[in-house]
Amino acid sequence: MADHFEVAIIGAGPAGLAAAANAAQHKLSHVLIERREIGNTIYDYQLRKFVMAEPGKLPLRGQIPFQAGTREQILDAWNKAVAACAINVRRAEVAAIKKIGEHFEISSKEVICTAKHVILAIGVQGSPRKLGVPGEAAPVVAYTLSDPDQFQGKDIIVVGAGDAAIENALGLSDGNNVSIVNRGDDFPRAKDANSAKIMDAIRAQKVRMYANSEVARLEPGIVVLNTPQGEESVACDHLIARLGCILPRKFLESCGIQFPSADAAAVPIVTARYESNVPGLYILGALIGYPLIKQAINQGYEVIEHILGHAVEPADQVLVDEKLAVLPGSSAQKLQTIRSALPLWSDLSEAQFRELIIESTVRVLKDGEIVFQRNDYTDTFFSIVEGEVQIEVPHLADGIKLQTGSYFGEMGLMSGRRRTATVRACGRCTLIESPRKQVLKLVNSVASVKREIDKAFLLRALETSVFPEVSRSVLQAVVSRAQYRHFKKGEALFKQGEIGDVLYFIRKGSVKVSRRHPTGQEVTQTYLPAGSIVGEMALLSEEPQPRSASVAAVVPCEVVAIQKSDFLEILKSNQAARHRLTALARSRELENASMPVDPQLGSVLDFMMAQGVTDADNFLLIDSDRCVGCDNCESACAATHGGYSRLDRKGGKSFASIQIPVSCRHCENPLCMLDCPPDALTRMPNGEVVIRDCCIGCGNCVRNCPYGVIRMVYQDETSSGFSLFSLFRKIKSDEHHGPAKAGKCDLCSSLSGGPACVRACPTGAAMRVNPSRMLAILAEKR
Amino acid sequence: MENFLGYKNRRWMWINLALVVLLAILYLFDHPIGGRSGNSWLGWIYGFLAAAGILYLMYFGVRKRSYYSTSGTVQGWLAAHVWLGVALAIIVPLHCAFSFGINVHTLAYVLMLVVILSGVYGAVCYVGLAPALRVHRGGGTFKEILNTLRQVEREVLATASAGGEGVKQLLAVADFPFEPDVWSCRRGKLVPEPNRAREAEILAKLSEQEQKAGLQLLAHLAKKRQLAIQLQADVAAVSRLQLWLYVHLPVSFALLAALATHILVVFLYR
Repeated sequence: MADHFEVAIIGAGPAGLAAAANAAQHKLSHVLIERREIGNTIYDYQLRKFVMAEPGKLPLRGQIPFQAGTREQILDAWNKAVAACAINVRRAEVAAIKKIGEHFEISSKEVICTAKHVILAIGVQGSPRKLGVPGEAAPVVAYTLSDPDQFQGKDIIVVGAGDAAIENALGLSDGNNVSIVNRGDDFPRAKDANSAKIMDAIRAQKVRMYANSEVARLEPGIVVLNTPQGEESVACDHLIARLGCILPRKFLESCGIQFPSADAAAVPIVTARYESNVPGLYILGALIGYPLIKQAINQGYEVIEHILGHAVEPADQVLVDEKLAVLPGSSAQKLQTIRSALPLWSDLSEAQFRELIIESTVRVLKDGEIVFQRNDYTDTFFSIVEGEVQIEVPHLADGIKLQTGSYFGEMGLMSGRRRTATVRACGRCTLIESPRKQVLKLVNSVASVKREIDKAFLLRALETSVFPEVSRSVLQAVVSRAQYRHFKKGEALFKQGEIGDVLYFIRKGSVKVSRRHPTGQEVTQTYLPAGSIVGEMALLSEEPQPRSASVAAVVPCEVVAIQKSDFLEILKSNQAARHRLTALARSRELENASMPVDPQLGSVLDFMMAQGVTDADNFLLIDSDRCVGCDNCESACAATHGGYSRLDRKGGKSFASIQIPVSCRHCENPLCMLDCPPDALTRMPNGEVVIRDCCIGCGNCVRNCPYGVIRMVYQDETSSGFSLFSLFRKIKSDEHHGPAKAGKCDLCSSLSGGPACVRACPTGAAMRVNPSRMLAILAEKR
Repeated sequence: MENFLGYKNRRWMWINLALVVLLAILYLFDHPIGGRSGNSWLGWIYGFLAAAGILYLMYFGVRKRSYYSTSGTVQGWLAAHVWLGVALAIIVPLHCAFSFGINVHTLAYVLMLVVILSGVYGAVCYVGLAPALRVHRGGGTFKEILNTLRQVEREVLATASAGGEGVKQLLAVADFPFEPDVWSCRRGKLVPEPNRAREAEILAKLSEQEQKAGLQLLAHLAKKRQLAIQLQADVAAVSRLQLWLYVHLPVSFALLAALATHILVVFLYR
């Protein structure tokens, strides 16, 4: 007769451990069944991998400890907790869970035990997607890699194009002959930083990539690949397949669990107590769409409380209460009111919505109070819970009014640039201000949010910059027919002389406008950032009109295309808009005809674009005609920034006598901020991009910055200014305190008097300028 | 654009000029009993001003390294430093009423003149040589150009060792060692003039195939010569920008010592 328990917990991941620990605490008879290791997913991580503790603000409940740290630290803490809580662990692989009467029977080949309640917490990492080719059962095939250092001098093939595959391939590339087999030709699913690293390794021939290829079959000692050139045999000592994980749907269904749809991404529906459609069978963690460790630990704790009949609030309740404290009423009511007021978020799950509220701030504004001003550097997103705001727009005295349920701030969200308009409250209003990162996360995970915001983005751009006179309903119809297109770096949107039939709105990236010099050479005339509209001039007349200039993408661009017929329809509907735009077109035509194409300006602009300073707001420039190479700028920077200079005077490119040294440009669209796990990179209200102390030293920003201005530095004590002693002391000491963190120019935002490098330059060669000032300096020198 | 000497519309030049003119006029109108000397009232005032000025000038070394300081910019301080230094060359003779001799007092003045003249030379270099640096380097850094040169040298050797005896002979005539040191760069003698006649003579004797290799060798060497000239000029310019400091700084400390002695002597033996 098999043992009988009150609760059987399957899977010793974070959720399972937390549930078992809480059951043990309450002296509930329990068993924790695990087929391999405690914390298996983390056990399979590469050695010393750093594990994040997201979401940062969520409190942790129960007996299982967890904080951000290395794989080893976390596993050690969990194993100690298992012993300390006296958790009853049993090693077995569960093959079936059957409900017999009031009890569940849990079995592998034979019955393991019976239990009144079953908690399924097996996650998805235990079910890697298999190769599915002949020979895949060979012992050389693995689906995980924990210690790349075990392998030396081997022929290793890594299959996959995600982060895990890339990390494995890179980890193995020292000392082994590594090939990566990729179904595509790049790595769109991977983090940008990983994608850049693997591409670098491939270029440096440290890793060989088989692009557009798949594994056909395995034979002893070799793997046969299907490549675009046909079958190719590759020597192989080990094959590591990192093809992602799949929900073990068949197993769940065999337990009687139902799924809401046949969609591959669908997860089982559970009640607020995590109970599935099978009474007494609970499901936790990644299986129901909560992939984060902290969430899983909290769920594990809560589910035992539910089973015991204790009332538990969700773990994040304190945080929600805190956020909503400014509003009257009970917490549940307030949440409900906000949710029903904001249709944009209607498709969010309960947990997603709560997380959004926790990360956001509730703001109650008085009549006329300014939410933000045009050209502010803030990048948060606002939803109107109650009341009305006014967006100030040129050409429109009353501006654009937005009511309850509407939202704004989406321009900054998409392009990461300054605010394009001032917004103020009309009467008392209540707003939810959400951080950019949180909203982007939702845009990327909830389809309806993306669709909705994309539309609004285009509509507002048309409303504010092209057609302020036209009614919203006409524009809405056009927007719904607009198409989204991508352009690669350097690709032409259109060329001078072509017949114009499309209007482009630049959603992301920037473009350059060039015209042909009489000699036939293309000369850059200007560049346009995201949020601009190009190509409208050739659309103003019913007759086919040629393009008056060429437009090409400077960086990868996302644009929205509007057809000429739609454009003309808008003009037909509104005479005022038609007159204004025709007049504008005339004056531009005149300007184009009379203004000579200036090749010199063109080459300056090309240089500035290549250096990324057209996008920059405040960059360091050195006038080579005045620089005597004394390096006092670097000394000043090092002395005021922990002993390491954040600028490289000798580095960087020059144009005529202007040098742009390697130093942060504080870009309008900072790529460094794209993938910062702890969100340490922040734009300050004055525009400077700084790295906060919460930097974990992952190095993503170092790889993402196209201008090489971020370095990993050790934080030394900052010298306290001049002393005679410092004359005789080397600035860089070799003793390091703590881990390396990302360091870059912070514009000396904490020093009064401005950047130390500029103040320390004895000849006035170092300056901080914006693009127009740089053009003015060059003009002065000419 | 103005250089640092003209900082803020030549503010410091005008201030120091006004100071010197004012002191000179006072000097001309001053007729103390016993004649003009450092021991008159005005002499004392001038002496005090000059000593304070020297201390202020020496403080520049501290200010330049006070990276947290918010008192002006180093550029402004340098402009003030240069113009006050020049002014002192005139204020000190006014202080001693142009009486010089072979003594510690005149020694202090001579040392001061050495410091001032080296400083003026430095200022002229700062203004004049910065653009030259850029021109010599053609946008690259010294290290980059030197690396390119070393690469070219490897190509030279590779070409020569692949060729026959004649090519090696050509190498012996046309190649030159390039180990830049400050003095030979400043003399400008590091890169010898090519001996075209001898090269042509050797080339003419070579077989057709060897001639090809020989011409290639000469092409590499021409490139090496061009880079070497660039680097030689660069080293010379950089040394001009830096070497004067090796006079300016130590002598300024010697001046300080002489000044202290001068003051001590004056007070003790007055």
